[in-house]
Amino acid sequence: MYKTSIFSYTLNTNVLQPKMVVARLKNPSPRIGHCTKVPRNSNMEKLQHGYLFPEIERHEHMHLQKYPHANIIDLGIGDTTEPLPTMVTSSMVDFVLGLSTSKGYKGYGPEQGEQALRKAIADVYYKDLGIKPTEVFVSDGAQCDITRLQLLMGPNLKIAVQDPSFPAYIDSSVIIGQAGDFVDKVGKYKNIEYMKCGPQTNFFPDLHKASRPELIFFCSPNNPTGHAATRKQLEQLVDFAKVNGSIIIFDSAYSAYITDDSPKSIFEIPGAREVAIEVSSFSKFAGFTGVRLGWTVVPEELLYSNGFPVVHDFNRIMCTCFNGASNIAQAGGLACLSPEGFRAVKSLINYYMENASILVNALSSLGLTVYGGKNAPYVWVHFPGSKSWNVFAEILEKTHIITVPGSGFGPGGEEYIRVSAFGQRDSIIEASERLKYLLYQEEN
Amino acid sequence: MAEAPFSVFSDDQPVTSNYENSSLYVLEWLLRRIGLPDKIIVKDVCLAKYSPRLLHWVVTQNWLPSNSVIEKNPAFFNTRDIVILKIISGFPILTKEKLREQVIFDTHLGDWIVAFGNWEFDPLKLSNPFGHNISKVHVWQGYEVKVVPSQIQRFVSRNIGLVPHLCFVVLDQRIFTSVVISAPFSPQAPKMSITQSLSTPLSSSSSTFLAPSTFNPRSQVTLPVKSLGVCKCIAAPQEADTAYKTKVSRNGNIAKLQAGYLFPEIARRRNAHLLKYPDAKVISLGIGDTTEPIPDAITSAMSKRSHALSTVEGYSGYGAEQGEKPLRSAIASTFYRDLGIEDDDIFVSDGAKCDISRLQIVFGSKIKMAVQDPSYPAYVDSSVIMGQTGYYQKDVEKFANIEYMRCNPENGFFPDLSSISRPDIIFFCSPNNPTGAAATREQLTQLVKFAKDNGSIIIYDSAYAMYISGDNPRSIFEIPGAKEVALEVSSFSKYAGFTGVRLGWTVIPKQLLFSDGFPVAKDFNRIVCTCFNGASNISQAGGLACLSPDGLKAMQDVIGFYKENTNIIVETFDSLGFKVYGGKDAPYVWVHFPGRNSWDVFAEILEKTHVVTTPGSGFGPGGEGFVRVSAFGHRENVLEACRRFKELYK
Repeated sequence: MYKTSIFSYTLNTNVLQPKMVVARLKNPSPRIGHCTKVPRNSNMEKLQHGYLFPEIERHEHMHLQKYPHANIIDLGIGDTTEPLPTMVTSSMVDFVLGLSTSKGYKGYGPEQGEQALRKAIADVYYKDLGIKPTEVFVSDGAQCDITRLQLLMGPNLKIAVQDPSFPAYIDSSVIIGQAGDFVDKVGKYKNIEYMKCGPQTNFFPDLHKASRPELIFFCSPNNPTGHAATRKQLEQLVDFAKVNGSIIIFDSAYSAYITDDSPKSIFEIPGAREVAIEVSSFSKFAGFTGVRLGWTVVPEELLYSNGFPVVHDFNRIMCTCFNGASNIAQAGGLACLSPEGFRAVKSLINYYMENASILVNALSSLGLTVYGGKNAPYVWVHFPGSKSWNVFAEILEKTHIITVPGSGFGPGGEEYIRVSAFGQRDSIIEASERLKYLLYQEEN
Repeated sequence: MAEAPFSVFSDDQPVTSNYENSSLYVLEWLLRRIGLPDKIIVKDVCLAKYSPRLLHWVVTQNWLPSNSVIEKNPAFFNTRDIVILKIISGFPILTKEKLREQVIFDTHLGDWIVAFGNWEFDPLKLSNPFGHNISKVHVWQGYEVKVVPSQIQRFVSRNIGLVPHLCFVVLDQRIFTSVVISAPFSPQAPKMSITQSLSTPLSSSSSTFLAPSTFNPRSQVTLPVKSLGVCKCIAAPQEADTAYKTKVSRNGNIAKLQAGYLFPEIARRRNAHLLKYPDAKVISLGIGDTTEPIPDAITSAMSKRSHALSTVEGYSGYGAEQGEKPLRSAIASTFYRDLGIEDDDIFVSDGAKCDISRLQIVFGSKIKMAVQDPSYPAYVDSSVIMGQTGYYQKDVEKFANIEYMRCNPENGFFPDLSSISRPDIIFFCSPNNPTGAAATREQLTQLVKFAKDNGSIIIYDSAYAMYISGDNPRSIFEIPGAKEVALEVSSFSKYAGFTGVRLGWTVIPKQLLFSDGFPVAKDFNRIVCTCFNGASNISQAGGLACLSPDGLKAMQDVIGFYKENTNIIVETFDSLGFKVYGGKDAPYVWVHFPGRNSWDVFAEILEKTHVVTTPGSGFGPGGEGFVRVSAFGHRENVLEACRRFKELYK
């Protein structure tokens, strides 16, 4: 275990400790000049610090200022790097060129997405699961849909999240006013149920401990731990939701990365249609992070306590607060779901998963305990006794590799860092080498 | 309520001379055929008091039918219906092939979205229309008819203590209607026997339920499959009582939203019209959707970017949430040159409507907003969703806790600010949708002063600014001091035909501060990073091309084209002696019909000229007496529409 000790050794904790951990978005000193009389939204004031990824970007900039010639390898944000299949881009090109002809020109499309795409998602992604095209709402991405779902649900309910989890769940909850005050001592919001997911419980929460939430955000394969919930675990979750009358918001953005027989959709679990909404995306599935396309499935059977179908209110939100995803992106999405396109995007996924195993092997060979990487493009590395941000900073300082500190995903992520497998093969190999070299240096 | 062996009656249509032609007759005939017991009251959905409102409620839910009601099956008539519809004359647009066409489908979709009757209806406030079990049968909305999802029926019927039992479709004269017969639930109810007795006689019957205006129960068309299909709902009633419900309560703010929405209602009227005049060449100058192709200079940039995404050098993943730097910089220098707006004050988005919601999230639920009356409906709706408003007050057609600022010709389409109580947020759209009025420099200076005196924030919607002809300000930031009280929302939609491509922006100056001195831009930035992930990079490439010298010229050409349309429309109404507003600085012409009801004028124009417009009252009570004519359309359509206007009002 001495091999890992380098990561608990820190040169200068104060310097390495990022400012965002202490900085609050409270106004430090009133500005001179005209202030309106509009009070700041108190929910915005409750937000603890800058959003995780922009914050990491800030560190990257600072690092670059310090080492202008450093060849930084970004294994942080989880951004896709591989070109889109030609088949997909050429259908977008065709669509775009059509827009400058009177025959091919299209104005406003339906807010819920083009019929053909909704149908293709239902047929390809939810084959045999009985999802109807009308239950599929096309959007400009999962993150945007999460906020729209929060708008839908409103401020008066209690949410539960996996701890650690993707920060947008909690942040959007705070913004909409569900979260209550932040309790510094425990690093949690008062009215949010944090369901700890660690290796001790096979990354699944101990549901007996969770008090009844109204909304359960559940991400599988999980970002950041990389764990895909097993069928049995998801059955437990659906059962828990049913007993408690809760609604699960299931984030399956990484389901295409599942290699074993873990469920790819919550709707594989019997009874899930009555308790769950699923949010998903083309971002990681087809490299659409910049093109922007995702979807949400709201089953008709999902009802509020007064029996009113959730799907109708969600549709209203989509029509009022959104105006449809870009029709060009939708044309690309449709191409991804054709047999040929599907094969092509699948090969991109395999590429990233090969990256993941390279990273898992490299990190394990250093004697580190490594999770994830099997059903998800994320590797979750344990540094017992170390602060995540310190590990992050040290890796950045010494190897010019950007990772993500686990504590950025919630208190349950402390002592971990997340390494993303999105990257070009050369960079991944180079990163592995640098990590090995860092260790070698420390040993000698 | 009358009680008779077969008491068939109507609330809004005399059951007299054309009784034999009415669907009531069909119902009565049907019920005799299937031998239902005595003491039945049949209420025809399209005619009776409660059911049409139910139907209306269901189909007017803007959020409801467009995704779950009709789109359950793009052909919302089942196969048998289509067979029938094909062999009867008068419905050429209902062939299966036709229904697959987006336009036809949308037309019908719109038709169903807004059905009949009043605009407000709360199913929870309904009581059992039959009360005290005096009747066993109630006509209800359909299940297999693919019009109303079973859950909605169950939800509604449960709340008034009825269980849907069977349903069928009646095509009354020119109106499609669906009905279900429901009865109070009782274990002994002869459910199955109704099913059987209905299906048997019908399959051998020769009566028609899908006849056009000359309805004749003894014609050759049959509807057995439809009836068999709809009978399936009989198997479902118990489910209505046992359907699993979560314990999550519905968001009260969304429940406050008003059911009816302007554009679906217009679509419905247009479709009813199409059915009445199947051969009419209907011209739509209603909804403001762009029709002209995007200039090549712009699409070629987008196709280049799309293609580049398949190359190693050209691929890019997540971009900055606030938009790509070159685009932000191009927007700042093109639209805000010399106005002191910096690149990082610009936030690129997927459109103005989406940004309006995000701004509402920034400001939260505890603020009071003011809005021009008439105005674009999204301001008010997003405010309701955020919980800023009280309930809708039917008598004044306004939501409580929103300040409606009347804008009419008397005040030069600028509100009398001295009569406005202090709002936190002022939505102000100029050039205005729908009135087409662009506020003058003097007016905007007043507005900025008003905001400053009251400590309010102006959300200035300049989505039509490039249509301004004269020297009225194109941005609120042309007014000195505006940077301390205003932010601006804008869009490429109406400039470059980007309504489907999706691209817009919001400008928030650093000088705009909350009461505690915290910059609004910082909170908006946080919202953009947390609740949004950037506009599509392909759209952004298109936006950048729009702002190149070639692109700007191309956009000006498109705008010039629509402006010529506008002139043609303005001149036409002018020459006919109407008071015409707007049109000079906006692609909308606001025509005054003093003393008349907007919807009546709308109907008159549609009936006599086959031209679809928009009734002004749909934009708020202040729009009564006006009709909005949109200039978005192909030239030949605009010319033809104007020729017909001249014919009508000569």
